[in-house]
Amino acid sequence: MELDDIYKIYMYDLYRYLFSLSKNHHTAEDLVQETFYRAYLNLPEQNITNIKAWLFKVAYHTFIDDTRKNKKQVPKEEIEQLKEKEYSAWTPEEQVLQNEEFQQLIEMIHQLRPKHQHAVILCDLHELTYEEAAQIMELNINSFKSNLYRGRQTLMNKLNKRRVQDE
Amino acid sequence: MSDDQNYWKIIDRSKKQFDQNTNIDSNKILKKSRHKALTTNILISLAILLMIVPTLTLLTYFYYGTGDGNGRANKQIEVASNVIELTEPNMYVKRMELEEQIDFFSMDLNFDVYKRIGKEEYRVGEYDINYMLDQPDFPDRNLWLDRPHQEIPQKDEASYIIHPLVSVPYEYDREWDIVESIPDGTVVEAYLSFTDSMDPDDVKDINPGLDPDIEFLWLAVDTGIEKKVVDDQGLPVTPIGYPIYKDPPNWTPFDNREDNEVAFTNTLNDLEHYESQATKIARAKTLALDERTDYIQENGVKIYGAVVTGPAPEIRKLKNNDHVRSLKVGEVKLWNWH
Amino acid sequence: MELALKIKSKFSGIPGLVSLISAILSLAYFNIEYLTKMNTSFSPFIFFIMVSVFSGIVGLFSKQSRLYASWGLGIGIFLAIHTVLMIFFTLGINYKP
Repeated sequence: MELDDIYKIYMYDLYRYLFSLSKNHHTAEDLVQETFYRAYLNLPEQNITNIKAWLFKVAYHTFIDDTRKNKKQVPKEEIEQLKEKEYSAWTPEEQVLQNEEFQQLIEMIHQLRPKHQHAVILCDLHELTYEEAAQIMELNINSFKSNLYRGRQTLMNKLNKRRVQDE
Repeated sequence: MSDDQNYWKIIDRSKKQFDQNTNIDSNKILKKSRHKALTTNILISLAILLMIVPTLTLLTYFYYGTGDGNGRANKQIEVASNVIELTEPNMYVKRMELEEQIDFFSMDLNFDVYKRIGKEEYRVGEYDINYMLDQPDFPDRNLWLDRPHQEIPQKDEASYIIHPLVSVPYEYDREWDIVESIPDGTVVEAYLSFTDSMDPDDVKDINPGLDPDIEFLWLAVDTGIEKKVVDDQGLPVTPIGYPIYKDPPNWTPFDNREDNEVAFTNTLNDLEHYESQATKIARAKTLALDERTDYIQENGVKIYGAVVTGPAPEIRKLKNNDHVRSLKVGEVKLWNWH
Repeated sequence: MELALKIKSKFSGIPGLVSLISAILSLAYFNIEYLTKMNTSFSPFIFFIMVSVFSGIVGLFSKQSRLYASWGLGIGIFLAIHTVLMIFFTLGINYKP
């Protein structure tokens, strides 16, 4: 299979992953492109056995670099303003039309502690194995697992609470 | 429905929903990324390729510009110029006119050599020496002389200045015939061999009261191996000595600021460190500098011959001089003895 | 605001690119000089070296093309040091008062 075909298979996963991290469509799209740019640049240098895990790792670093640069460049209030504006720009209808449920899920996940968030996003939302996810987060497998279980547990409780409310 | 099942169900459902609503052009994104990566690769490869030449050039200049006290290039220029002054009687380099061309880890020296004949100096040839790092190739020598020395000295041929302990070949008598036949209106460069080795200060005494009216240009120093004619390995040796300048060229060690014999000893000792380079540039196959410096250290500087210049009639008078054992005529030029 | 940010991000790659391109141009010039053995005069390209250094610094702080900016800046600094050393060495080798 051509490399590009493999890349295409994971395109949606990566987009969803980057959206989960950034909560922003534009950022996610830019970062997907940046991720594949980096993937093309670095590919000849390494012997990759697990393309999916590797792509996620590249995507995560892309996201980290981007947030770091944005923090440096744009004052915090500006980011907050921007975020507010972005949300207000989304009419409720649009929200429904788009992906309300995922959006809510992400909002909920983002209420978790950062390490729990990431573990849940990698493992439960994108089906990476414990080893792969632990590697991306640069944790040893045991502390990764504990992060994941705790995150998952909190998320489940939140979901249940909501379900009870809804009912 | 258990919590667990519900959890997975929600995740699965929201994911599907999200993917359905996601509308990204994967071909476009890949194409754009690939293009950008290609551009980056090309630009950076280009930059790396273009850095090769400046880096090599800088390394080369760093090599030639450092080390050996004043930089390796300057040292080799000094060695080449000193070797010519010491091993080519009455021949010198004007370092102001010397040109160097540095290429990748190699250097090309170009210079003219001069002789003084009578009262004037004449450009008598050019040298071209190619160096690989600090090792020279045999020089490309181009001399315009009427009576050149052998390109490569031979064992069985007598030197132009003969040590007192070595017999003078009979054909040297003919040299006096030449002196007799040279017209009066000319100036002559002549190689004298003395009957005895003497101190440098005594050389002038062989010419009492400036009669004949001649000038000393170069003095041949007895370094112990001239009497053996060959060195340890049986290679023929050529005279070694030092010049006396009235008007020294720039940067010569023999600039009359100190005694020329001291300058000679120092220069010879210094050349010993660069003997392989010096031997390449000299006409002789061997300079035997080790043996020579040891001998000079023990016995001091003794002169056994000289290069002189003067009008033909004055040179003729040397035949009757007690100190002069033999003579060989060098270059002859029109009258300039003003 | 969003548009402004988008425009900003679209053009923030420019300093890096300018830096790398001017660095490559300076390098090309040095290659021509050294390979053709023309009389090396550094002055016309000091400008380009300075461009690559300064836009490299600007580019390092921008959002995109930090890779280009760091390469451009690196080459710019390399060439600046190179030029100084070369002048120093050429003056020192076979100097004539």
